[in-house]
Amino acid sequence: MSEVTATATATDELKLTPPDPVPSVSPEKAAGLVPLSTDQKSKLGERVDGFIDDLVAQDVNSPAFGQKVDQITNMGRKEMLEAASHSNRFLDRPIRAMDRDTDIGQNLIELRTTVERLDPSANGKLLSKRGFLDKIFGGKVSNYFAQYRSAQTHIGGILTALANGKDELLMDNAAIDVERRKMWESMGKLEQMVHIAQTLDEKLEAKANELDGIDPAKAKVLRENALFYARQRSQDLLTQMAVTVQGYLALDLVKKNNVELVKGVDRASTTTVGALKTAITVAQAMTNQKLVLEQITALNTTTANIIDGTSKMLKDNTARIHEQAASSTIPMETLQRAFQNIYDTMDAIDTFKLKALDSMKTTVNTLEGEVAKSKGYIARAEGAAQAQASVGGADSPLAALEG
Amino acid sequence: MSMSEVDKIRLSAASAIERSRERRRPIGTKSVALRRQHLYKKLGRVLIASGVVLLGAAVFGALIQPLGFTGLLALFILLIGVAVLFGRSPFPEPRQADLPRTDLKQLAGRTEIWLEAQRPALPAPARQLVDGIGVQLDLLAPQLQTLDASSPAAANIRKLVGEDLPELVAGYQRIPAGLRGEAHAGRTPDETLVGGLKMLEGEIGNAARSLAAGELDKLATRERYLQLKYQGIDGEDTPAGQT
Repeated sequence: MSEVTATATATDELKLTPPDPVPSVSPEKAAGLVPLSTDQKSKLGERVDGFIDDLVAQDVNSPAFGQKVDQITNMGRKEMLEAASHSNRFLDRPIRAMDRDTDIGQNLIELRTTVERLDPSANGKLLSKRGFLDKIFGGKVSNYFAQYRSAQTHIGGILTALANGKDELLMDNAAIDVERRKMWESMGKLEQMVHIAQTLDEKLEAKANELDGIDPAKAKVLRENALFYARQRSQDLLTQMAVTVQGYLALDLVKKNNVELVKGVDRASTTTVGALKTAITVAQAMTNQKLVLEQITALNTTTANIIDGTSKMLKDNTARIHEQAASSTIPMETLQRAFQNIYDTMDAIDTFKLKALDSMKTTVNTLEGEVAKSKGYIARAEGAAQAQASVGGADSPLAALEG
Repeated sequence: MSMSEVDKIRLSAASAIERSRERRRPIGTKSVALRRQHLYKKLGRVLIASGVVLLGAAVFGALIQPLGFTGLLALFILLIGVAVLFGRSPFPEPRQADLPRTDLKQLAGRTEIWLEAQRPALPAPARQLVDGIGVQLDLLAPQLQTLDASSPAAANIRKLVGEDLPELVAGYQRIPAGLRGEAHAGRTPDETLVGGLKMLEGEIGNAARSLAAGELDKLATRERYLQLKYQGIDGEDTPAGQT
C-alpha cells in the first residue's frame, strides 16, 4: 500500500498553525519596544536640558513661563494624532479579514460538494463484473468518468475564484506591510517623545529639589505646574504607544493568518488538480478512453505558474500515477487516495479557521478596549491644542527629531 | 560726471517698470492657467461670432444682393464691433467674499489670483511667504480636481484656503498703514501677519501631503503585492529605519 499512498500531491502533511491572540500591552511595558540610538538619546537629552534652563530662567509670573508650560502640555500632540489615525484603520482590518475568510470558505465548501459527487468511493462498486446490461448501456466505469466531463467547467470556475481570493489575501497582506511600515515610523517618533517626557520628568524633579533651598516658591510652581503636566503627558504618550504597539502586533496576526490561508488555498487547488489528473490517467488505464478535461489541463498550467513548486511536483507525480495506474491491480484506489488528499486539506483549513477566528476575535476585543481608552487621552490632547493653537508645533524645542 | 536729467528719468522709469512687473508677477502656475483658460475662451467666442457674421454676409451677398463697397465697409465695422463686444469681457477677478464659495477645482487657482492682487500691499517678508504659499497651492491643486466636494477633507481645505488665508491677509489690510509697524500687545501687525502666513504655508503643504498619502500608500501596496505574489509569501520585509 505504501506506493499507493504516494499519490497525486505532495506527501508532506499540510499543517496550518493558527497564530496566538495578541495579548494586551500595558503602558509601562510599551516604552522601549522601538530602540533609540544613544546618539538620538543624547540629542534629545540636550534639548530637554536647554528647555529646563530656559524655563527656570523665566519669572514664574511672566507670560513667557506660561508659554513654556504650554509647550509641555502640547508636546507630542502631532505624534499622538498620527499614531491614533492608524488605530482607526487597523481596527477594521481584522474584521474585514474575517469577512474575507467567509468568502474563501464559501468557495471551498462549493469545491467540496462538487468533489464529493465525483468521489469514487461514493459511486458504489465500480469494478463489479461486467454484466449483460453493461454491454448495452455502457459500463459503470465509463459512466462514472463521464461525470468528470460535466463537472469540469464548474470546478474550473471554483478554482479560478479561489485563485482570485488568494490574490485578495496577498493584496491585503501588502497593504498590511505598508501600514506596518508607517506604524513603525510613528512608533519611532512616539518613542522619542516618550523619552523626552521621561527625561523631562526626572530632570524637572531634580531641578525642583535643587531649588528647594534657594527659591522655594519657584520650586513649588515647578512641581505643581511643569512637573504635573510633564507626568500627565508622559502617561498619555505611553498609553498611545501601548495601543499602537498592540495594533502593530494585531496586524501581524492578520498577516500570518492570511499567509496560512493562502497556503491552504494553494494546497486545496493543487490537490484538486492532482485528483483530476489522476482521474484522467486512471480512466485511460481502465476504459482505454481518453478523458478530455481541457479546462483542468489549462488550469493546471496556470496554477503551476502561480504556485511555486507545483509544476515540478505535478510533473513527477504524473509519471508516478501513470506507472501506478498501469501496474497496480487496483487503480481505483489510487484515485480514492487522491480524493482523500483533498478532504484532508479542507479539514485542515476548517480546523485552522476555527482556531484563527478565535484568536482574531480575542485580539479585536482587547484592541477595541485599548483604543477606547486612548481616545480619552487624544481628546484631552486636542482640547489642549485648541486652547493654545499658537504655541508648540514644529518650533517647540520639545518636538521629536526628524527622520 | 553727474547724472544727466535723461539718465535720471530713464532710471526711475526702469524701476517703475520693474515695480509694476513685480506687482503682476504670478505666484503660482494655477493662476496663470486660469487666466490663460479665460483668454482662450474669449478668443474662441470672438472667432465663433466673427464666423457667424461672415457666414451671414456671404448668405446675404449670394441670395439677396451683392454686398458692394458699402456692404464690405459695414461688414468690416460689424466684425470690429463683434470683436470688441466679445473680447472686452475682463477676467472676473475673485473677491474675498466669493472665495469660500468657489468651485473646489478652481479654489487653489483663484486664491492664487486673489493673493497676487494683494501681494504688492504686503510687507517684504510677507511677500516672500506669499510666493511660498503659491508653490504649496500648486501642489494642492491637482488633488482638488478629484476630491469629493462633500468629504470632510474638502471642507477642511475650503476653510483653510478659502477662508482662513484670505481673512488673515484682509485683516492685516484693514489696519491703517501707519499702524502696521506699531507694536500692539508685544507684537506688531507685520510680525503677526508673517507668523500667520508661515503657519498657513505649512498647513497647506500638510494638507497636500495628507491628500497624496492615500495614493502613495496605494502605490506602495501595489509594489508589495507584486513582491508577495511573484517572489513568494515568505519574503519578510524589514521596515526602513528599523535598527
